[in-house]
Amino acid sequence: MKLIDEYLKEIEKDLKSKKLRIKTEEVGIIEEVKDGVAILSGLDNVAYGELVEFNSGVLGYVIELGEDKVGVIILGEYLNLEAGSQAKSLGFTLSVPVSEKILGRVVDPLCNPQDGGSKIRSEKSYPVEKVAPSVVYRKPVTAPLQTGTKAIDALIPVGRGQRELIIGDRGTGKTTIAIDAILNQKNEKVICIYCGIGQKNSKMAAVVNLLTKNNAMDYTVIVNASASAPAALQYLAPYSAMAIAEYFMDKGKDVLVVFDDLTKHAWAYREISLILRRPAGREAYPGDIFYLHSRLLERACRLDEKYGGGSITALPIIETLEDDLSTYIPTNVISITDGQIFLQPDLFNAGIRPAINVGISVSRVGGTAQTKAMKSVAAKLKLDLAQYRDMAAFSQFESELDEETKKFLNRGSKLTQILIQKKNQPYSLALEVALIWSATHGLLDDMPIAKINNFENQLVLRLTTKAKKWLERINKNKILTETDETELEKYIKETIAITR
Amino acid sequence: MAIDPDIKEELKNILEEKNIAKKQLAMVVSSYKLSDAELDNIKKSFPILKKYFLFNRVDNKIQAGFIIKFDSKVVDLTLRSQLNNFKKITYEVDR
Repeated sequence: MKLIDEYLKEIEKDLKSKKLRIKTEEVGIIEEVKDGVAILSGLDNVAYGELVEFNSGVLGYVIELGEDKVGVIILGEYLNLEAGSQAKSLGFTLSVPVSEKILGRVVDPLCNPQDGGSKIRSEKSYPVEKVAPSVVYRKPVTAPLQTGTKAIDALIPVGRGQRELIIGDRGTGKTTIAIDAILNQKNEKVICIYCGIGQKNSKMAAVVNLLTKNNAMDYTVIVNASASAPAALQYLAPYSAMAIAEYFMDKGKDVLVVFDDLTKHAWAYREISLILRRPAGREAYPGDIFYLHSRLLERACRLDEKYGGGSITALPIIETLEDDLSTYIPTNVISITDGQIFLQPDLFNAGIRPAINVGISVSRVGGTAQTKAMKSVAAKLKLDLAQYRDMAAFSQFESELDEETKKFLNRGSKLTQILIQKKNQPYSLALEVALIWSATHGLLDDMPIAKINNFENQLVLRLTTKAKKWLERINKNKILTETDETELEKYIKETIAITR
Repeated sequence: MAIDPDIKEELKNILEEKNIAKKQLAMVVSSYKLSDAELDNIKKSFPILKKYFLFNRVDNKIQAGFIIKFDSKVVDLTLRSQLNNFKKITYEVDR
């Protein structure tokens, strides 16, 4: 009985707070229902982007204002909508309720819970569509975002406020890189948002499982519009994720948003546009497919201190077909982002994982977003790897080469091997610096390649157990002094001695 | 091709008539037939309906209260909608 009393008290409280107000609502009648799109008549004074509600409670988003018809995409089940039934306008544009309580939740693009938990209640709502901050509000990107992947932090560094595209064929490890970046933010006070667009539900469940196991859900939000979700929700998912990110950015926090992936987002938008009979352009995409992604990614920025000093780093993911970067959507998004990380299936199959092609991957922010410690080891790494790539073709003539070339090839292969990393095991800055230092300073030149993986595990073990102070120092000061280097050399030599 | 000015005049009048007829009609849906006095009362309480001609329609599914429909706007003051809102509140209340 007590439970029912409590329940009734809550209902009373809610009812008292809602006074009966006489309001005029715009009303329309459904004329046509197509797959996920409804055409309504009436609704004379509705604005673009407003929400309408159908009789069954399903919401719609106004996306087309014709002379006497209104086109609405249905944000939910459209199967029971009848022609002739009414829809009323709600008078406000689509916005999502945001609060601190959204951390750790799995939500759909309308912020309805998908993890069986309670509804997200909040007084604050952030608009899903928003104009990106203009030049005056921004600050250049200088703070690094540690992704935990050695190859990326050393050679293609990502800064807070940057947009870095992860692009590659299917099954090359794009999501893995993004998830590792999220896992690595555990002690960094960075809020993470993973937006799944058109992904398999099984994959999303695996992601949630992985993040929960590694205690990453405390600072992560997952926005999910799965493959079976209506195209309208898949279209809105990244914008909802961006709205949530902006809420945290306005509070001065740094946010990392992963869009997995924007190819399916473009497909969903193409579907909606074709149903609305908008003119089809190249590859049947509508004319504003560039604007679709540019207005999303431009909202990722670093704000000036005057406006809070927060930042949003975006890691959009694009899937290519047959390693072809010159198709429509990849070229569009490459021109929008501040750099790209290329993953190639040949490298993946050859055992180089993460399958990053360092030669053609770029970070347009580069060294300004790198700590001094990393910069000191990365410069030599870059040079050695570049020389190795140039000479890679000669590695087949091993017996006929001179000593110099053989040395370069040896060093290059050791460096490539040291950059290989197991999935879901991101490294802190100090460990990354230590591992790369060991390879660039030639201490691994005499070790057979097969043993390098073992050496890496042993060194990580040794440093995390016996050199805690050294790790703390590097992680805190982000600088590698001479004394640090000598201490590190000692540990490395010890590890080499015991590596079998 | 020039249109005869008389025909133009006629067409304009017809168009205006049709427009006026469409614009100035407002429907009041109630659960029982309203008297003229009651309709006048409604018109007085809603100043926006000054230029509209009210006509009454009966629908007992709204249980109590009334709906006013004019242009594409609706003012819904029925008991049925209040009960529907109540349904939403009880669903949303969380312990």
